Order: sequence, then structure tokens, then C-alpha cells
Amino acid sequence: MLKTAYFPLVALLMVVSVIVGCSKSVRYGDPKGVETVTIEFGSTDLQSIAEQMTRSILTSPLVVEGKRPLITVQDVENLTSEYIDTRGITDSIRTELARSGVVRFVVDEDAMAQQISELDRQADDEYYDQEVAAPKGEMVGAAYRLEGNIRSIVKQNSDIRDVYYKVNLQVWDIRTGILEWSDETEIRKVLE
Amino acid sequence: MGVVRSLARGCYLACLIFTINLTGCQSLSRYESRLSDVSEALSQGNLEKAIDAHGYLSSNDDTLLYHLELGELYWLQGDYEQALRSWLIANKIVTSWESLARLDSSLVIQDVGSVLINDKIKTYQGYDFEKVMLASRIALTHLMMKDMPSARVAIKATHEREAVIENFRSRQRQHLQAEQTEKNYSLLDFPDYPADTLESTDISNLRNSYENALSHYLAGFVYEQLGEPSLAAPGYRKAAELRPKALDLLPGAKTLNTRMSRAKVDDSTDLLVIFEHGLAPVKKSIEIALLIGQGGDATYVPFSAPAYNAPQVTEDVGLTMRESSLQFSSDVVDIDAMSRRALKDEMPTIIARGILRSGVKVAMQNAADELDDSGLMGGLIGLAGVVTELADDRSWRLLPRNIGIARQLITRGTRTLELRSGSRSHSLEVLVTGRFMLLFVRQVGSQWYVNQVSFN
Repeated sequence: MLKTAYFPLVALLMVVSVIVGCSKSVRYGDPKGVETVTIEFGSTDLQSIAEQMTRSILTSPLVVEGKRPLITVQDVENLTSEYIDTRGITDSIRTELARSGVVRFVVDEDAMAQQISELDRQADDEYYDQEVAAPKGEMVGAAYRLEGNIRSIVKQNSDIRDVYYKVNLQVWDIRTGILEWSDETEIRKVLE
Repeated sequence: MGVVRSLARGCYLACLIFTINLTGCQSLSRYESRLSDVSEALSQGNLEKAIDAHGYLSSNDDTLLYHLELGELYWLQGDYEQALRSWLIANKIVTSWESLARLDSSLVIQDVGSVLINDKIKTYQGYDFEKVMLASRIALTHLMMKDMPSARVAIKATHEREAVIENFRSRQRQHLQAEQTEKNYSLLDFPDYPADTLESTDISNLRNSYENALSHYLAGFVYEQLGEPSLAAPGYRKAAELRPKALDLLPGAKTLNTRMSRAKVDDSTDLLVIFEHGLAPVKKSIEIALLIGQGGDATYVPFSAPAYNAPQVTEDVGLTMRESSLQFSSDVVDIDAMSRRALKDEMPTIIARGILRSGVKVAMQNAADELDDSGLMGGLIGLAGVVTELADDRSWRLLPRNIGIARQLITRGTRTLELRSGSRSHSLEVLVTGRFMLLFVRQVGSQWYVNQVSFN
């Protein structure tokens, strides 16, 4: 009889332990910490690519000569079957380069519509003082364009999934069509 | 001892009454019968009546299913706000499932009721392909409401949902393999089961039961129109990987850059037509005789499993637009095959639960026989076991049976679209306008439902 009297208590303890065991807490993580939640392209891959490429550009003759070249950024073409927002890569590279102050960027193709819209808006003399409004026809074209692509090779069997990424970036002289800089970086991830 | 026997009898009688009461409830009625008024009104073009008929269906344990079906009716009616409202309620339930699935592979443990009574007593959680289709439907609704940012969010949720399902099913397979120590039954052990309905090249050619080419092609289309080629390209590629033959002729990743550089002032419209027809296949309950026990104690126990009828002959479906070379692929999503594949993948767990349930029912009957020498109680429990033994035949029935798509740059203006589905045909005047346009056509019975939206 004594043993059966403990049953409700044991059952209650089990329920409580399950609830406590299942409860989740929220915490802040290090945005630069290595993320390996899944094998898909993630924040660590993006940061690694952006850092390596930025470092490479900063040590290239293009920048070292101190001419503060004007660059426009084009999309990094995604040649994989994975939904990778490659603007995240080019945005990070552009931000790091701009922060270094050794290169300057001009409006890229994606932002052109907004730039034109703003110039049109300021051209309206009903609302804007035309003496200080940004005039049309004074935008400066880029001397170089940054572009590239990301490819992947995925192999899988019942035990292992292997994903290999290769990112290639180039800077082209727009006037001459000369390739002024190019570099590539590789990432391999294995899920076992 | 007499008191104990009386108490035991009381418990058994209570179980019996509970079980017999269930015979009158929805867990024992065929889902197809419950939905017959709705599907009939739908095929007659009377959506108001279909929605009214659907309103009579209880939504207690089937909240997800109720809202999936209701959303479909409002969607066809062109009432996007109501459709979205219903589907977002359904989506909330699926999102809760996703949260659990992300954390806990023991989600495979099912409701106790499914072991004691039948699988229909379980709260409906939806098949994986239904969860993905729901996300695609929500994205389509946002598009119809001209809300591109929300459509993009819904598209992204579709990818994330597929990833959660893939991860969960992988862990679930490992979990089940680790747990299974006894004999694994397969459909071959049950000669009464129409196993051939789950075996065809259409079914085995599917990569899995849940990924569909439309959701990825739609992702490509939306990202492309938003000027995001790095996300559009993988959408088209994934769609082509899933249905290489069907999507080979349609605009995709190869010509993406050409389309992206199209002048914004040209007089053509990027027209995407989604042509759906029919209804998702009907599931039914099949009885399988299972031998439990050995020697003189061996008993045949009725065990039910869900099954589909033999697949219908594929109807010839066509779509052409006069004075244009609109390319149409009729076989982009085969929900009939996906439904069968989902059931095939689920069969091992259905069989395991059925065997366990049969064992419980036999044990209850034997125990009742011991308590009641007349055999009356055991007989009643056995009868209740037979009556309540029904397989789960629920599914999102108002989904189409098949989905095809057509896409082309079309010069703006009024165009005539010719549609064909089996012996039925329909002609539709369409004003092709805007930079891009989405035209949705659904054929059910003799009815053709049309939704469309243009973007500048």
C-alpha cells in the first residue's frame, strides 16, 4: 500500500522533470561565432568569404597605389541550387572597403532607380531651393566594377553530405576591360 | 475479490460506453462523406453553398484541416482576405508543429487515442506536402493582394519549412530504426492491401513526398520580379531538379540574366499562368485481417489501414494562347502521386500503431471474458473494437489533383486563352497588362475559376 501511495508523487515528479527538461531559454550569441546549426550556407560562410576577399582587395595594386578608385558593385551570381542572398556578401565587402577609406563606391545598378528618383525630386523648384539642390548630369561613373559568382558541388550518400562552395570575385577596369584583380575562396562542409 | 471484480466490470463498461459513443462521432465517419456537399457545390460553381456547407463541419479536433479547406474555398471565390485569414490560422498550427519538430524527434509518439480507438482520433497535423502547399498558397494570396514584400516572406517561409521537414524526417527515420527491434511489417505481409496503388514510376520518381516544383518556380518568379537574381536562380534550378522534363521548355535560370536586363519600358508582360485541375485523391479505410497470438490463443483481429483507389487515367490537359507561343507544362505538381508517396512513407508507422491497437483490443476482450463468464461483455467489447477500427482518411481534399504552368513574355493587350482538361474545354478572354502578371485557373468538374493580378 505504501508503494502505491508514492505513484502520484513519482508521476508528478516525472511530469515536472519533463516540463523542466523541455523548457527553452533565450540567450544572445556571438554574431562572429562559428555557426554549425545546419550544413546550409550560413553566417560563418558569409563572414569568412567577405573577410578573405576584403583582405585580398586591400592588398592589391589597385588599392595600394592610393588613387582611391571609384568602384560599382554588381551582383555575385548564384550558380548553386541553394537560396543564398549574395547581396549579403557584396554588402559586407563594400562596407569593409568603404570603412578602410581606400576606395570609393558609386551608385550601383540596383540603387539607380532611387538615385534618379531623388534627383527628380530635388529638381522640383516648387519645393527645393535650386541653388543648393543636387543638379542632374553631375553623377560620376565608376572606373571599376566588382562582380563574381558562387558555385557549389554537393555530394551525398546515406551517411555523409558533403558541400563544397567556391566563390570567385573580380574587379574589371570599365574603360579598358582589363581584369585588375581576381581572387577566389573555397569552403567545404561535411555533415556526418 | 468481489469488489475488485465489480470495479473492473465498471471500468470495462465505462470503456465500452465511451467506445460505443464514439461510433456516432466524426472519428468514425468518412471524411469524404462529410465533405461531399462541399465538393459537389464546388464542382457546380456554387461557392457560397460550398462555404455554407463547410461551415457545418466541426472544427474541434480538425482545426487545421477545417481552415485548409475553408481557405481554398475563399481563395477560389476571390475573397483573398478571408482566404488569408483561414490559411494563417492553419499556418499557426503548422508553425507550432515546426517548433516542436525542430527540437524533438520523439514527436513520433502519437496520441494515446490512436492506440486505443483509431488513427482518426488524432488531432490532424497535416501531411508534409500539405504544409508546404499551405505556405505556397499563402504566398500566392499575398501576390493576388499585390503585397510583394509579404509574398517574399511567405516564399522564404516555404524554404524554411522544407528544411525543417527534411531535418525532422531524417531524425525520425533514425529514431524509428533505433527503436525497431521486433519484426518490421511491410505491405507485403498484408495481401488484402492494394499495395499496387502506392507503387508507380510517378510515385517512385518523386524525391520525397513534400517538395513541389511549383513552390520553387514561384520563388524564382517572385525573386526575379523583385530584382533578386541570386535568389531567383536557385528557385528555378530547384524546380527543374524536381521536374526536369516538365520545366525544360519554360523560362528558368538559364535565361534569367536576359530577362533581368529587359528594358523597363518595353510593351511586353511576363505572364505566368498556373493551371490547376481536379481534386486531391480520396482516401478510404481498408480492413486487414491480422493474426495475433499463437496456437489455440491465436485470434484474427480487424486492423484498418488507409488506402487510395487505383490512380485515375491521366487526363489530357492543355493550354494555349492565340497569337502567342505560350509554353505550357502540364505536369509540374502531381498531388495525386505526392499523396500516395506520403501514405507509402507513413505506412510503417500506421502498421506499427495498428498492430499495437489490435493487441490492446484483444487484451481488453480477453480480460472481459475472464471477468464475465457469460461472454457478453467480451463480445460487446469485440464488437466495439470492430466498429471503431477505421483508418484515418482525412486529407486536404480541395487541393487540386494536378498543377501545370505556362510562362511567356506576351505583348500587352486582350488575348484569348484556350484551356482543355480531358473532354472539357474553356475559352477565356484575358487582358494581358503590366510588367508582370499572374493568372490562376482552376478547373473542378464543369467549373473554371479564375484569379489574376498584374504588377507595373
